[in-house]
This record gives sequence, C-alpha cells and structure tokens, in this order.
Amino acid sequence: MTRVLEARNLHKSYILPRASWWEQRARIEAVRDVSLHVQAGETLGIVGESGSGKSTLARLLMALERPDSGRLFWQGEEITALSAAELRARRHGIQMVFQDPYGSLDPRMRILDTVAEPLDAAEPGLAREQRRARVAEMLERVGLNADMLVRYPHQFSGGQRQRIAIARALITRPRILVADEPASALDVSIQAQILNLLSDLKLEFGLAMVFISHDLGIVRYLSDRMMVMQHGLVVEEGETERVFTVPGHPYTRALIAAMPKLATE
Amino acid sequence: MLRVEHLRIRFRGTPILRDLSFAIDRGEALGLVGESGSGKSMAALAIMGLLPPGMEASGRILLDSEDLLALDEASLCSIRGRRIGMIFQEPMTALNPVHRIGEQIAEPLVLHGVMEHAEALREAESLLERVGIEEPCRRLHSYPHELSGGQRQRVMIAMAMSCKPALLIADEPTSALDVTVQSEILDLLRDLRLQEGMATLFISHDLAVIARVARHTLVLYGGAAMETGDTIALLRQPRHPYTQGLLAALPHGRSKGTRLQPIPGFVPPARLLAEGCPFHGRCPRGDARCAAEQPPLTVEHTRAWCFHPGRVE
Repeated sequence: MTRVLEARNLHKSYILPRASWWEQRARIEAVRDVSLHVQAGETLGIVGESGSGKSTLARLLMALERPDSGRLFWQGEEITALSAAELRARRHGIQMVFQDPYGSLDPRMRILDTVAEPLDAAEPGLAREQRRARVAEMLERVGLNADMLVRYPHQFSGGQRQRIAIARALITRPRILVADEPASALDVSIQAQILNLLSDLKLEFGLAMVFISHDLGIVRYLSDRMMVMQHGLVVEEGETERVFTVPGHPYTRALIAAMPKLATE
Repeated sequence: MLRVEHLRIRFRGTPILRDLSFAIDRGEALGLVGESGSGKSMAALAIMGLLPPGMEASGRILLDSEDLLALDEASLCSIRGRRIGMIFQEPMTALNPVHRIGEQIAEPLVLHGVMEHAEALREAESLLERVGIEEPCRRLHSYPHELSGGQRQRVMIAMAMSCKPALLIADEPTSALDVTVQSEILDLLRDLRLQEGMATLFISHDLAVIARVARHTLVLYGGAAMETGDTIALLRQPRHPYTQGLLAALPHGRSKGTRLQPIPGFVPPARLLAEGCPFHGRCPRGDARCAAEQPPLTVEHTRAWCFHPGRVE
C-alpha cells in the first residue's frame, strides 16, 4: 500500500515570552523527532494529554506551520520546502476537522457557500448548478438534507454543525483527513453518529485518517494503529489492540489505568 | 441530609424540570447524569438558590429539614459557601484572577464569621495541604494564573471545603482536565467525602466518571428523571430505553469493528418536548400513551419511569 501521508523526524519548538527582563527566554520543544506514516483506508490514532504536542503535530501535518527540521510527504510527494502557493494547489488532498465546529463555520455564510468554499478553491470554473449539486450530494452523504443549503450555522445543533464541517472537509475528495478531537464537544448520543460517519467514510473513500483525541475509548474504537505522545515525544506506538492489551511504556500504562471505565466492562 | 421533593422549574410556562425527587445521605454521593439540556445543572442551581431570573421553582429542597426554596436571599447567602460547597468545571471562572489564592480560600471563613483573618489564613494553608498542593505555605501567595488546571481545581475544592459544608455540589469538576489529573481529583473528592461525611451531588455527562465516584445514580433527560438506582445495577442491567441508548452509544473495548448505536435524532428544545415522557420521539419503544401521559414509576433492581421498561431485545 502507498503511504498517503508520511512525516520523518519532525521537530518544532517555540520560544516563550520571558516572564521578566532578567530571565532567559524559555524554549518549548513542542514536537520532538516525530515520524509517522498513514496508508489509504487506515486510521492512525494519536493520544496525549494537554501539552503533549498532539495539536502542534496536527498543524505540522497540515503544513499550517513549518517544522524546524524534518520532512513531510503528501501522497508520496515531498512538500517540506514548497511555497505557500504551491501548497495551496495541493491542499484539496488533505483536510482537517476541529473540535469546535461552531468556531470553524462562518456565521454569516450560508451552508451552501461554507461547504463549497474548498471546492471553489480547487475547481474555480465549476458551474453554479454543478457546484450546488456537489454540495447537496455531500450533505446527503453526512446525513443532512439538501434543503438545509440556504440556512446559516446557528440554525443547526452541535452534531449537525460537526456534520457540516465534515462535509466541507470532504467535498474536494481528500485522500487524508486530520481530525482533532472531532467528537469531544458533543453529547454521547450524537458523538456515536459522528464516529459511525467517520468509519463509513473511511471505507467508502479509502480515506487515510489521523485521529487525535484525549479520549482513549474513542481512539481504541476508531484507529488501526496508535501513537502515545508525552512532552512532544512519541513514547509508544503500535497496533491499537496491542497497545491497549499489552502497553509497553509506563506512561501508556498510567493513561490506561487512569481512564474511567464503566462497571460493565 | 439533602432531600429534594417534587422539584419543578418552569420558564415562561415551559417545564425545565419535571417533578424531580431524590435524597442524599451523609457521606454518600449521588451521580446526576444527563446530556446537554437534561436539566442537571438547573437542578444544582435550584439547590444553591441561584436560578436565573424568570425561572419559577416549586416543590421542596430540604437541607437538614430546612426548606431552601422557602428562604430569602439573605438566608441563602449565609448557607451558600458555608453549608453548601460548590465546585465547577472551569475553576478559572470561579477564582478571582487578581487575588492571591490564600486570601480567596480564607474569604468564606471570614465572611461567614467562622474565624478571624489571621486564623483563616493558617486554615487556608492546612486546607491546601489536605487537597494535595505542594509547598502550601508558599502557594498561599500565588495567583490563579500561576497554577496548572489540576492545581486550580484543587484550590477550588479547598475553598468549597473551607467551612466544612454538609453538602458538596460538584458540576462536571473534572471535564476540563487530563485523564491522569482527573483520576487524582476523583480520588481526592472521594477521600474528603468519606473523611468529612459530606453528602455529594456529582453532576456529569460521563457515565464512566459517575461509575467511579457515586454509589447511586439518577439519569435525567429533558428535565425528567428516567431511571435511578444502584450505579452498578443501573449500568449492568438498565431498564429504561434512554439509559440503554446512552450505553449502546458509547464506544468500549468490545465495540471495535462494530457500528455504534446512536440515539436517533437530537434533543429538541424544551418547549417541543412531549407532555408525557420527554424521551418520546427518540425512544424505540415509545407509543401514543408515552406522548400524552406521565410514565409510571416501575420498581425492580432499578427504579424507572417508563411505560415499557425492561431488557434490550
């Protein structure tokens, strides 16, 4: 299988503002020597607590930030040194879904235009009817009615908004989806709808997915392989079931032990 | 210790809480579970006498046989923080950013006339030690922004505990924390409850967290009680279709490769909920009677308010 997404030895550090004039500026190593690869149809789960570097890693994979060192490949092509314009031409192949769908939807834009925005960038010459038809089809795929096209984000529930965000991310038929806590802000009953949707899309589109979450139960359910991050480092990686049943690193063991479990398990 | 009887809250004629009754004994914890819009936080606000304007409450809220709903604001002020301690999800909104934490922990003690300022500061130090803050003497002089999320929640707990309340209300106290920190805070709350003999009302959307802290659980939906009982019995063999739906929707170790079973639809606004059972419309067993009539209380190993209780087919 081809590696749709690959990262080799990514490093990223930030310099913190100093607390006083006399102090040295502190440097935070957000991502330290992280390598990963994802194949078509495969889901890589990334777990870690706050400050582990998992969201910085997501931004590096999306090329929203440049690494200090290391190399990044999208669909086999090295994109580490590409210019912003060159990256833009390739962005339709890699999309992202965030935790808070409300924050990523423009409140003044109709759902039609919100979902079509990445399409407009990827295929600028598309006829109006075709554009509308593509959006309607995508909305249907994520379980929303086409008659919702002319509504605005505030007219939807949290679960529906996350579906809209997913429709927007998938409209250009990307090969890679990076999902950063996509179901964490949702109620349990709605969360299950979104997780089912993501597994369907993975099968249907052969989507490679990087799924980032602090929720170990969800990562176990959804991902084929997983990585555990702590202080910017990958402390453990492997097949998801192996990591859960025979965790190798003490930190992984601590995470699994701390995870609240239902009495029925 | 705490006994809530037939608590009803209405807002402009719309029922927000429907005839809620429950009790918590000394040293016991009750878990209140529900999704957004279930009314769980509204119940907590009613107990604290902090309902938003326009909300009309009826029924009784008895704390040591004194009806809190019948009290005026002045009397409630003397109870809040003294006999009822509170902790919330986001400690940063409850802590004052421009005051040192020692002063903030000492404040309720001085305000309620429990002790003088100097003595209260010494008490604050020992409270910080009890909630597991290292170097408590030095930390007294810290500001909230100098602490981590877990430490801030510990400070909140120290404040809530300062006057040795009879009742502690914890509303999603660990939802914003990392799992390892969450685990420490849950242990701390349990230890303090057992040592002090406080009754604890623990509110969460997370069944797994509730399972860890509370022997009894009450499940709310749309402002009404769905099912209550011993937490383990409720999770192992739920009888109400809503409790069953919540559990089926959760991913767990054995669900890998299978489809999760979401509850169809979404929570409608309160004014559109059915007169009878609010879960009607999303319930797989609902019928015309559920829409119109109040479901009866059925008692087996759990207590469920339902016309069609029983195992999942």
